[in-house]
Amino acid sequence: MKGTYLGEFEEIVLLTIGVLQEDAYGVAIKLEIEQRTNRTPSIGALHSALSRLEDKGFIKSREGGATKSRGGRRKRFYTITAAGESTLIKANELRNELFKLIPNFQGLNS
Amino acid sequence: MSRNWSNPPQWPQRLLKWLCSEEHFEVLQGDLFELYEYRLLKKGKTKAKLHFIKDSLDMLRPFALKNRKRKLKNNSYTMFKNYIKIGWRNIIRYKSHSTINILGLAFGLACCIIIFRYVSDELSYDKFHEKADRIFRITFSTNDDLSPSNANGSFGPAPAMVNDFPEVETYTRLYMIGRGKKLVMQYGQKQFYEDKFFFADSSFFDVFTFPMIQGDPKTALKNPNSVVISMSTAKKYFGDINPMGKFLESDVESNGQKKQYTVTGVVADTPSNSHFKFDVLASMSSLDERLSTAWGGFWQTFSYIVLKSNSDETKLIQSLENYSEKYMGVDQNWYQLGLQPLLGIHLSSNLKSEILPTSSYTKVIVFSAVGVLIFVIACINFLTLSTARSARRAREIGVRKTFGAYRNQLFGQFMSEAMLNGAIATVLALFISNMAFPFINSLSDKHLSLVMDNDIIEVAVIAIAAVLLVTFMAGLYPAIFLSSFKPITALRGVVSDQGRIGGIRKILVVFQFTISIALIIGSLVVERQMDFMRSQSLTQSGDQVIVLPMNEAIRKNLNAYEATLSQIPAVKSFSGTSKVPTRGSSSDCFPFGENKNGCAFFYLADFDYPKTMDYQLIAGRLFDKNIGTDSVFAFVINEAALEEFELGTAEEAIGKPFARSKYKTGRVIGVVENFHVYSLHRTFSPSWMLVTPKAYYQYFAVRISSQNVSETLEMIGDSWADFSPEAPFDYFFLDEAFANLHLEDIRTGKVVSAMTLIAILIAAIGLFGLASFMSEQRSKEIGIRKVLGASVFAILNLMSKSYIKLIIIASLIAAPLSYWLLNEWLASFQYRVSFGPLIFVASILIVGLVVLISISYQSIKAATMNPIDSLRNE
Repeated sequence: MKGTYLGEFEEIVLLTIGVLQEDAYGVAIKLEIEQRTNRTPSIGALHSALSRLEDKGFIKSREGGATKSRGGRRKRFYTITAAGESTLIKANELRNELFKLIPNFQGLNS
Repeated sequence: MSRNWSNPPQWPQRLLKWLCSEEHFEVLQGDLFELYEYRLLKKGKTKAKLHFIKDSLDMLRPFALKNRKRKLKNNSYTMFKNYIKIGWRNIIRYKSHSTINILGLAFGLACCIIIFRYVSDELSYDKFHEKADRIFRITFSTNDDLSPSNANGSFGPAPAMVNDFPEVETYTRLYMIGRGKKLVMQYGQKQFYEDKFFFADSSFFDVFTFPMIQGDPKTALKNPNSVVISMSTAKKYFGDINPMGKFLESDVESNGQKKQYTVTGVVADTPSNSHFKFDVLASMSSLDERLSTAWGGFWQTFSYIVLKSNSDETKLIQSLENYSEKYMGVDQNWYQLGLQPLLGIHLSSNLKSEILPTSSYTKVIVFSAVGVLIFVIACINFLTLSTARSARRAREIGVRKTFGAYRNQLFGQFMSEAMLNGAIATVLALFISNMAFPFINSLSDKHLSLVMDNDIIEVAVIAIAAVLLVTFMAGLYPAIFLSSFKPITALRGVVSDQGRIGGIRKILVVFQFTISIALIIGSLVVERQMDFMRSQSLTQSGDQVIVLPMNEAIRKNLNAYEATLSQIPAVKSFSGTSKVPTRGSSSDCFPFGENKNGCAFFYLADFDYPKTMDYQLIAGRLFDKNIGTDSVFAFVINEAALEEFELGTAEEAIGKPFARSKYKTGRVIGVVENFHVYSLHRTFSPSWMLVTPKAYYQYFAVRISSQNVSETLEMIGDSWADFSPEAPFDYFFLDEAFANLHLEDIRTGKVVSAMTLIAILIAAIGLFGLASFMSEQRSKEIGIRKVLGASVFAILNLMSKSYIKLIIIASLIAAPLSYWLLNEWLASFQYRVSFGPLIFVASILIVGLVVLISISYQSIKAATMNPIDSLRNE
């Protein structure tokens, strides 16, 4: 069951973790995705995706210290693993190659 | 962050904690909290809470749940799957039995759902106003006990109270122009009758909460001649045009002058659970200022005040005791004011001149009770059938027990089977009720549906509650009973009361019969009372009286119109009048004799009025055109008025002085029989009639022959159109108008009848199932009896004997019970039917017949079967 296939939403989550760097935890990722993609993933769906990514070995997590604003609850921060990085790069390369193969599709080939 | 902090709801957190694995819980909860705070700032408390609930539930995904692997090893999960499978196979295998079980439950549940919706609608009246618990309506009454207090009164008290009592925050008044009089409004070529037309104070939207779609609620009703209209009214006149600032034209005060009203606001249509409904609200400032501060009398004015929070209304009510003296003088203490909470209007108001008919707590209780009874009947079906069929399952139970099943496991098995049946029945019930709601709405004039306000979650909660309820009500006893079998006897297939109605089942069947009989008696008596009320309002000659509301065009040419009317052969008699019973009747109180006040309804009418209404003369004479004095000071009164004004017997009263006021005095020339003015819940009211100039007339009462009514109506309508081309022909039948006064009673009657029918149907279905099972079980016995020479009749007798006994026991319980309940109900009517033993006998016979039909089909089948078939079948 646990392949290394990267789903579309998973890819976005993975990329967003990359963008957020040190500050990638549940709510932050959700808000970042909302801002950038105009879609509003539910927090449940997001955590579900995060747990899948972790199972696949693309990200790893560590728990941070307690903060006041969350009623004293700890955050779990995520970082991309080497495997995650290489999967992202592969996905990107694959996509670019396919793009280049489309004739007359100039707008995106710059 | 702590500013504006409000805690998120607790229960989703508990649910999450319970279901979530520990490693995830803290982080997830932290995220939920953070989002909650974020939304609290951005979207407000309610939305944040709703989102919090939604998100928490959304968190319950496989990744977050507790690791259940250990539990899966426990075989109760596997067994549960097995129970459901066996249960399903049982449903499929015994199709007719399952159909009866499930259909019965489904109909019962559907009834419950409908009644639940109905009752919660009744209980929700006027709760949507933000200040609902602080709004009170001023009630007005006379000191006499002629009639209950009025919901309506005069204009002055409400504004005066705001000045005089510090605890009164604000007020608003609604003024209906001429109850029942329809007025025409016009925009361009479009003209319609508007009967939900009120004048309202500018504070209307401050007191009541009706969402305004266009316009400013604070100022919309400030200026004279402005109107606020409902959404549907706006559509009706203006279509897609923006109605704001447009003019609607109408002769509201019916003085022959059309006024233009500016549309200053559009509000959403009045919700159906409001005690008044409006289409057009005109500003109170359009009316004469003298009118809007007047005290005394009973205008169609409804006054509402808002108390400041935490003020005590009982104190205020006490200080209202002699309040009217301050404004009307010391001798006017007959004019009593009172307060009535807004939230009590729909269910506990029993006042005269309500804007719309009200309901009562009794009705809510009756409906709830009927709903519960139907549900109980359906559950009993399930119960009796499951236990009766225990023999079929005995072997299975024996085998399971031999293999080591505990009793509580078998208990669980039968409970889960009941749940499976309940779940299927619930799904069916949702469909059935969804289809039935339009029918219920047409009976009750409500807007109910399965899914209210798009609230799917509520429906889901109802459904889950229904399944659980059925499981416990219907499944508990069979599960206890079936799981108690001893393995050895069960394996041998010997179960004690096979083929007969066992003890507890007997009690249950008696209970079902009792409910059915009581319901039938109830609905028959209700039906008779409704019939009685209808017949009371008819004329003695059997003629129909129709009433035409008069308008200015007709009034101008009254003589010519009367001449045309008299040409129509089917018109027997007609008369103009100021009022007619049921519409706009108001009583008037005046000093009569020495220091005595008397109150009575009055009709300022034409010579032929008593004749037209078919009032029977007791003493003296009716008005006569040829006697000149009759048009000035002759009164015709009814019997109740004799008593009210202490005039002695009818004969003695003739010639006695009578006065309407100091200025209008005269003599009694005739006494007629009593007649109804309002609903039959009330006593006959004192009334008098007086011939007056035609300018006082508001209605035309026309008595027509009851033959060819539609042709006659057409002729009257044609002549109407000749004189009044602008306003469409409008009329109503007097008996229908009376029926409308009892609309709530009639509706209750209809709904109760429908429910009774369903209850009997469900009980009959259950009996049919039981009987078919019994005859199946006893087929060998019947076979042997037939071989030994028993006749078909003897076998039929054998099979139905035990049921007859049960019916007799049930009747003995049902008859006194329903007799007592119905007498309680009828006591609320001043005029009521008596009901004799015939109704009881009829009801018992109906149930007996239903029982016989449902069991004899099976019994005859069994009795006429060739005995060889049943005996050979080993």
